[in-house]
Amino acid sequence: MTSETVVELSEVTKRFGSVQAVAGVSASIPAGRLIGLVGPDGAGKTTLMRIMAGLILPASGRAVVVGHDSADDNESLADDIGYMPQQFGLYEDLTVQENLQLYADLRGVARKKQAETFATLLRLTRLAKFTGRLAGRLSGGMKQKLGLACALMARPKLLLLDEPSVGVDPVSRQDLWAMVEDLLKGGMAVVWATSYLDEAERCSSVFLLSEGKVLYSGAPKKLTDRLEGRSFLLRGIVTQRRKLLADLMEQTFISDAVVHGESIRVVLHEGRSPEELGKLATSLGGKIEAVPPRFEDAFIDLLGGSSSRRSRIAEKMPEVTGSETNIIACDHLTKKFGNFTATDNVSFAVGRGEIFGLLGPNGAGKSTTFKMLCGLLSITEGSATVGGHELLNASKKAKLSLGYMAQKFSLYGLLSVKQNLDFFAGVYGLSGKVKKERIAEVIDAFSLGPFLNSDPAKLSLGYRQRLALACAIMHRPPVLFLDEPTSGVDPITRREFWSHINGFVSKGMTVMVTTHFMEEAEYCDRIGLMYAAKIIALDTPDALKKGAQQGPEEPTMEEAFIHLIKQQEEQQI
Amino acid sequence: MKTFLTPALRAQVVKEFLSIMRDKKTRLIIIIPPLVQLFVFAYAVTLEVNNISIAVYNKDNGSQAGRFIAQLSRASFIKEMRSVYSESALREEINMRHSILAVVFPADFSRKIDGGGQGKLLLISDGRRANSAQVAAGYIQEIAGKFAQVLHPEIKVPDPTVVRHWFNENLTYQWYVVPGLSGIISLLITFILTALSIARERELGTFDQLLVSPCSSWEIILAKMTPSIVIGMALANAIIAAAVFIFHVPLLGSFVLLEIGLLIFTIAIASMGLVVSALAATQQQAVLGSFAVIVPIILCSGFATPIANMPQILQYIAQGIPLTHYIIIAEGLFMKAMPAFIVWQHIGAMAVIALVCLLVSTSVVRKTLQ
Amino acid sequence: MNIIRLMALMRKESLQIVRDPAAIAIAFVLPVLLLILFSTAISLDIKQIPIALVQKSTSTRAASLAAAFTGTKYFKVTVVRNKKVVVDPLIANEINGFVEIPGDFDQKLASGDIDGLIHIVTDASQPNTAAFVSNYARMVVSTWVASHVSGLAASPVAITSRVWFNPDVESKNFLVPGAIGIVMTMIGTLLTALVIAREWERGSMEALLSTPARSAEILVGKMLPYFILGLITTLFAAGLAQWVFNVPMRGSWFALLSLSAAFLLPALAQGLLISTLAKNQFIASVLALLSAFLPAFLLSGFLFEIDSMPTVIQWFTALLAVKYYIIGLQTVFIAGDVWSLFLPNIGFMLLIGAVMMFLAKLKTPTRLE
Repeated sequence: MTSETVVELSEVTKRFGSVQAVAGVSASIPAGRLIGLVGPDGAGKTTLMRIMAGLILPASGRAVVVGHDSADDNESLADDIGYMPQQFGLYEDLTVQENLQLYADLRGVARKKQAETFATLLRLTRLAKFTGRLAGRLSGGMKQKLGLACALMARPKLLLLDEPSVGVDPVSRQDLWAMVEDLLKGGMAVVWATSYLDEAERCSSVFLLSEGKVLYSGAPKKLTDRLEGRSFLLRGIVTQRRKLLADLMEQTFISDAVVHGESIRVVLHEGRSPEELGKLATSLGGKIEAVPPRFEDAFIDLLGGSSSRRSRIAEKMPEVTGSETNIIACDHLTKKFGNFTATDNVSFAVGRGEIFGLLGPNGAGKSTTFKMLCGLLSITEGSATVGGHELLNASKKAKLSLGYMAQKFSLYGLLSVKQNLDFFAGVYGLSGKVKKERIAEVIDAFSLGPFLNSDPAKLSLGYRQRLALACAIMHRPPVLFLDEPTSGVDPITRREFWSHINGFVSKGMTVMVTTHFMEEAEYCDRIGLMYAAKIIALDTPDALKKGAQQGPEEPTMEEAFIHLIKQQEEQQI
Repeated sequence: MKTFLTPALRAQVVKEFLSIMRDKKTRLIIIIPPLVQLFVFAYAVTLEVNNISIAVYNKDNGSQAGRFIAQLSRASFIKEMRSVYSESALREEINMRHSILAVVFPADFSRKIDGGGQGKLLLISDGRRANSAQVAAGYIQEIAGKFAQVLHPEIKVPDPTVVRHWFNENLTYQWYVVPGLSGIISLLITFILTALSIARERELGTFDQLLVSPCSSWEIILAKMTPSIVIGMALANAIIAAAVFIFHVPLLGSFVLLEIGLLIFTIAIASMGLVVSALAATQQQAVLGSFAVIVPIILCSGFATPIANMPQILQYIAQGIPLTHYIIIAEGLFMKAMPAFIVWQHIGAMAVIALVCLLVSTSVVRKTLQ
Repeated sequence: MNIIRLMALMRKESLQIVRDPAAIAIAFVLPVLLLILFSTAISLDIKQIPIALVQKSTSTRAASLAAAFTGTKYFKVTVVRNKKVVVDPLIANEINGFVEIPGDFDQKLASGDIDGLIHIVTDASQPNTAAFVSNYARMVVSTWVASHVSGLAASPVAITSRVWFNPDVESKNFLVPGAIGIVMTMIGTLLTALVIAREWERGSMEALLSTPARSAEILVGKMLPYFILGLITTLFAAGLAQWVFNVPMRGSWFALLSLSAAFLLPALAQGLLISTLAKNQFIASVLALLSAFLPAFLLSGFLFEIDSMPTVIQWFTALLAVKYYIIGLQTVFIAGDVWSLFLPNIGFMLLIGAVMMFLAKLKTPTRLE
């Protein structure tokens, strides 16, 4: 049974205009396996998924999926596959139950079996309480899970999941995995496209795509093993670890380095000995510790190492000065929507030059808190100030102190890249020579030069994020708000993104960030963990991890997150 | 001026323009439909009646019916005369809409006239097209009135009336339609563009981005109205040019006053559009909302039918519609050389409407901003 | 065609209709609004048109003619003595024309020299109204002359006018049925076009296409609920027309529903076609307004006589399903069941619908490109 081949791709190609999205991919996917599809943005993951789903015809080559040649008959092909697109087409004006019912009928689930199927899916997704709620009223993670439930409705031979866990909190992510593992037991083949590499590690084999070509295929472990002996944790450096990170990245022997709580995680270039790193560590008063490599290390290494360097834009920024200490402050902040309390008595303060992360499961009230701080929502009780001002009715001057990057891509799709830059520079009051200089600066720093006349929507996700960041910081705000800034972004772009943020912070900028991505949480100075509208923990990443430690090994941030949430849930019962 | 047009405001105005004009499809949609409308309206939309078919049921054996029919056949508004020979054929002719009107000559038609009496002619009109049929009946009435002259060319039959059509001697329909159209088309485009502007930002998620930026609500309102007003005025002027150069409508009044009227008119319309936009959650709602406002505006503006014909309450409502006033100004300045003091009364009325709409839209937009 | 899938799609669509305030507004509020407007605002019946009467003679005979003018329902007459005071109101649109009774009215009448006795001046910047004013004013004068001036030969031809189906010539009797045609165009074409364009915009089309649902099922599943909604609205609007606006309903409800059903096919197919071409709500809405609403309004014969339009436009109207529908509606309401007219019209509508459906099916992608 398991030896049966479900997908057979031979020399599949596809181009869109001048972009070669898929350049000669051959692959064979057996039944009963979980296959990861990874690669940087624009590598062709989604196009390949759509080709397998029969939604796009390859320009050349053949795609045989569950015995159907996709070129001949994509309608009967659809009978045998399940596909969950990146933006799953839930009907927002239908309830959870009605969405399930629709897809059950469309996928030919027999009426008699439906009740049982729904019960299982609702249990796995923890949506049982919400069956009567309109899908449009669910939080992002709940929608994602409902989308998956709809895609999983029937038991197709092949299930294609395109970035199913973007924007999903760690707890829900566990639910997703549980659902998928359950399916694999039934002999289904699952293709999971993702830019979260810890997910790729759990696949039985991965295809690593870059620029439409397969760079690596096989078990993730085999790729990770190549990095044996090259990953280290640089411990014991208390101050200036962000500045140090930038210095490290300039060392020729280092392939990759990221902030990891109070430590820095370093990957050496192939063939370099750890001695150099050891010396460096000693000179800084710290020490190095060998750690097992991760798939992410191997991924970055295979793609030529991290390309991020010092942030040129941050270097040009003047030091942010001022006397006030609590730049961002919430004081007994509460928001009620009718009977529902979205944010309940939240208090915290963020100092100058600090990165503060707001974490929590979907629907915990992060966005609401965030929006009240930015002045996008009115406050029911308490206060939320940025630079001493409540922003809802603030003066122009107060609003000028804020840079904001929204969760959803929210630049003007109808304007070109250059026109967007012009607009945001102008709206923040820049004009004349200063405006020209600042625009030239960000174009240079974010390498936007070749795309100035393109539509933002046609850029890859990574470039869109760069553009959004560029638009948010041209007026050099002392405070920057980032709402899930790197959701779905590949590790290389994420590193580059954070190299800029690190640069800004070392100049005294204050950053507030919400994220679902635990790696990103490690970059923060302090984390506030929200659950059910309240802050249930507020500390440094390392302290949070320590607090959640149960065995001899230090837990990952994700494990700590899940532990804290579970603890809270138990207390409530 | 320098302090008024801040960089922030200028950036927003530029952004709004680009949002409309940068996309090729949108550009085409703003330019082509008005052109189509101009020609369809100018040529097809007429309450004149010509090229019609009429049925003739002649039961008379004498010569007078034949003479009358010969007169009819010379009439330019008739395209075809279809003879029928029975009541049932006549009924079928009207039922099937082959003829809009039937002329029935009774058997004694000639005998009566020859005997110095009156021949009784029966006109039967199709009530489904009662309006055109009535006009055609009027024409036939006129032919009948002149029939005495045909019978006795030697006697001069006096006509007690002289009709003078002032301002538009030949009753050229296009002279009326095209100037009015400059108002209708700028209304359509200005309204829909403004109505979509906030709704689109809300649907695409850019509105939050705008709200956190240091733009004041009046800047947002001004920026959103400017492009629609400019584009609406540009289209209206294109039609005014077409009126002068293609349709040769005499422009006797002040062009400057016409432009001032147009400006106030488009400002009023843009503020109405903004109210719809601020209330609509999606672009679909904005489109349907605009539709629900635009159709009654056009119908009640007096463009299609005289306001005097409407029930009293609608006549009051019509006074509150900017289009009503604009059409009076446009027609007046084109054909009637309307004096400035009358024009200013209507501009004043539109300014009051614009002010009210602007206040409403500012407060509605402000509310949505919070 | 799989019945379970089809039913699922239809149920989904119906739930969406019921929950979409815009759909409900179009189906039930728009008819009310349009019916009110067309039965009141748009009236082609001329009455109470404001004119001035410049009565320069104060004789009893002049007063008698003036009374003839003030007595008619067609005009609202302001009597003045001086011609100068009527020019400004004429320019200011306060009156649509004036009639001048000369100072030597009695003398002229007595001498029998009545040619050109009464001057009628209209504001021809509004040619329609001007034509009405001149026609009715002449009629008033000639009627008065015929009965008050002796010695004139009676006209050799007397005309009796009869208007079938609509003896009182009330324009609402044919405008209200026409307005129903416009509402149905909105439901069939605009609403459908917007709804499908929205599925493309929101990405739910991609999910639908990847399910086993066939494109034919998706099309039918979309169309049937709107078809039913359309028929419900027909009944609702026809009920309003008959019982609220007092438009006679001389034909049968069966004929009415048959016509509406036949019209919904091309209207829905046009909506489908537009949405598959546009895939974007703004463009879809403009295309729908341009290709469905405006023709329904202007070119269907509803307000303006098709025969009087230029030949090219007349040919074009032959392709408009709404033209056949509005003719059918006006007939079924005020003329009755004329099946010899309905059947060919239904045939044309179905034919146009079949062609549009074919095009829509051809253009409906089963893939994303």
